[in-house]
Amino acid sequence: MLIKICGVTTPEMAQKVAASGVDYIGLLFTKHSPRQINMDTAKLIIDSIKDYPTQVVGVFFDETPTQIAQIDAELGLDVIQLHGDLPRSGVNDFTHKPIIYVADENNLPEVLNPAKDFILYEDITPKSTEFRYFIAGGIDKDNVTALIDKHSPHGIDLSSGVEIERGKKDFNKIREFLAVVKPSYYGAFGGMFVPELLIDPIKNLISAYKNIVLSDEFHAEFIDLLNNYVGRPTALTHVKNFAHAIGLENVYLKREDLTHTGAHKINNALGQCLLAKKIGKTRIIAETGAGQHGVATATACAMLGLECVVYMGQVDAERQAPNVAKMRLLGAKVIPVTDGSATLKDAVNEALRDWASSYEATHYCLGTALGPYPFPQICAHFQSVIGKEAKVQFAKQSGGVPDVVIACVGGGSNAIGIFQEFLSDENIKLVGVEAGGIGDKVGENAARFQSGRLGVLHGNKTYVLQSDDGQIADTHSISAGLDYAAVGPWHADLFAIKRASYDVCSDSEALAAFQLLTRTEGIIPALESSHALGYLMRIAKDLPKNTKVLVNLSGRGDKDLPALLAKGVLDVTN
Amino acid sequence: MLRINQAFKDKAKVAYLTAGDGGINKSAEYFLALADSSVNLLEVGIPYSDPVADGPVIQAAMERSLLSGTTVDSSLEVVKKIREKNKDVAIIIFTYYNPIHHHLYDFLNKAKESGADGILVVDLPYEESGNYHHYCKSLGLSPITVIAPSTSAERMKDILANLNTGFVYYACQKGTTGARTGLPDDLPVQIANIRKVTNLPIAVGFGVANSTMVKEILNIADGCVVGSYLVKKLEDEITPEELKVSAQELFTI
Ligand SMILES: Cc1ncc(COP(=O)(O)O)c(C=O)c1O
Repeated sequence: MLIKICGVTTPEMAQKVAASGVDYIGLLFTKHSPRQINMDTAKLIIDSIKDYPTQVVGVFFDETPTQIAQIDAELGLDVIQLHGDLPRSGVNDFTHKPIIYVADENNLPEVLNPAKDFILYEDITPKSTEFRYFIAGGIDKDNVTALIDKHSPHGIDLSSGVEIERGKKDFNKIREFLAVVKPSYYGAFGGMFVPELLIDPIKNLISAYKNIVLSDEFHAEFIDLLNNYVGRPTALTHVKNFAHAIGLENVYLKREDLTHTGAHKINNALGQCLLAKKIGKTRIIAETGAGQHGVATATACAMLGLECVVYMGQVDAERQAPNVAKMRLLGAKVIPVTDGSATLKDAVNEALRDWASSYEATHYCLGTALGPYPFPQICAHFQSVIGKEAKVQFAKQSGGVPDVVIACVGGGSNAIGIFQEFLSDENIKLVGVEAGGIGDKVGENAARFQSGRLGVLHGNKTYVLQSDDGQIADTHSISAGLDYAAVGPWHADLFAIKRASYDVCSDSEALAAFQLLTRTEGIIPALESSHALGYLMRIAKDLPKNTKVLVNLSGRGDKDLPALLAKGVLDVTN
Repeated sequence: MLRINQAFKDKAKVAYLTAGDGGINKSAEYFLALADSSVNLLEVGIPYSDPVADGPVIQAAMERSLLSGTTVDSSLEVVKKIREKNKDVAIIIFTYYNPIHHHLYDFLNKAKESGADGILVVDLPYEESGNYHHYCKSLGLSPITVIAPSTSAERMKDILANLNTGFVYYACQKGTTGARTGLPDDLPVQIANIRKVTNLPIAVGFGVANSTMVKEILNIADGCVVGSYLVKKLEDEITPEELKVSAQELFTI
């Protein structure tokens, strides 16, 4: 469905709208409109969206064809929209450009070309036509679904339906509208790009999510398991020594390392396995990078009596050996994957291939906030408990809200788990930390927001590290859990609309943080989580001393010790 | 598009290979050799680093091809070389979405110019297809739609309702590409279901690995697609002539 928002009046709004994946924005020059803009504003708007695929439509109500041509010459419009008799009389002048022609009861002009032009039906019923068409006229989030069913349009033209007062667009309303029309997307990102075979299983999962996971009954059962099996709520710890060591005072860690199995992954794994059981699946497959999601899934399966198969890249299986043994001890079958880079991406490939033949009895328990919709949503939902607890605990301990919330980002599950609860308060800075690895070159890191570009991997549209030719790039990180070429679509959206920022932490910075937290606080963090801490160490000097910082300590470091000790990078000489 | 119709006039014999497997020139020779056998529709696969719909044989072919330096452009070069020598054989391009989504229109345009008649984007379902069908239509390329064993009757209707060019590709097995030993029992029923909602010809593929399966398929469907069975032969240094003989044996009905 093409989305057009008509009457955008500021560059700020235009940028956010374009970043949200809206296909067209309409600019109005008509004196009688509350949405009228002048040429200078139009230029600023066009400049503000030049890096997006969004197209600029000049919308003309009462201009003469000559005036329209002048405006076009000055602005370089992508599309010309002709309303009213005067503009429409010039339809012959614009055959070199895509036209949106507003239909009336008369026949369509012969010069229109279905290969490039659109018809817009405003308040009149679309006639069946060889043209692609928009519908318009008071469309909002409440009436749009019925209108789409009735008229099967190619596009929706919106204006007053996403305004907070006449002539004033409201970003929240626009986002609410997009969520209705494109439910599988987070702004411009997400979707379900999978082979036809998997569409039906995915649709079944969508209804299971809506009907079961979101029910009160399921929620109660899930919370009971979180409290009495996982050991939630996890502590929030004010780490004063660590804070002092880096020149700060108020650093708080959300202690996901204290969960059963030692990382946040159990929240999602348990939720999904519980759901799988309810919908009659008997077998669970999972991919794992650091092995934490694999261990969590194997644990949930042992407890719930489900068969478990875990795919793990050969490279990861070697560097996270304790977790491989644990999974096998728990009764799971671990299948090492030797294809490609033999890391997380390749494990996801194999899990998807397995699911394509096994979906009838098997649930694919995807371990992070990515994949085809609804996987990112399901994972974010189960991980949201982190932020909910942290917000209450933070208020209690520090008497307010954090100034900044920091989390490492592999696929993005622990980060979205803690961010969600703070999204609506724009004063709280949210920072995701990616693996900076050993350098800036492709293949030396997993910094999707630094050098990735828009792509489609594992079923969703997001930022992907790839070659110019669209082949997925190899990645590197000292931590298996961050060593992945794509990032969850919700993060891609938060980045695009600038609600969160993303930075990197190198392998060596992460190692330094790993050791500092261990020595100052007696807490051994996972290498993944150490990236969030390593970033904080680097930027601490630029922060006011009393900045209130909340870091999601996503997991504990036991799993990393054998590989790190073998490498000789830890100080164990004393 | 006319060539696709022509291929289905009798029965379409469709053969898949990965572009650039064996190098660009050799790859074109393989395709041309197939076109010299009874094969009348070539499926040219663009290699991709993460082919989740493919089993081990095609994965390995894609890896070989990428290692030898094949790109999206050089894959189209293969199409061009085939077309220069053979004006009649129908050609469709098989691809994953990531390598082409960035410049979708330009890519489709180049595909058309290089001589392709149709295109199949395996991980671009109907829900996500956006401008894709419009572009194909305006360029005169047939978008080939896949129906799977899991596709519901209602969905089949939605997907196929507005399509009037090319053919329907029924991928008759669950799982990924790769040779199987037999055909699923529900094949006749599934084909009948598809015929209820479209007049387009139907080609059946996925796992076809011997001439008995080919015969069975062509008895009830309009075309038969063979992939992994032929791709596997390229693992050993087979000559185009030998490949032609294999295809001839396979498709003799
Ligand atoms: C402890 C820990 N933290 C973080 C991650 C990264 O994943 P995500 O970004 O989904 O939280 C992993 C992944 O394996 C992990 O084990």
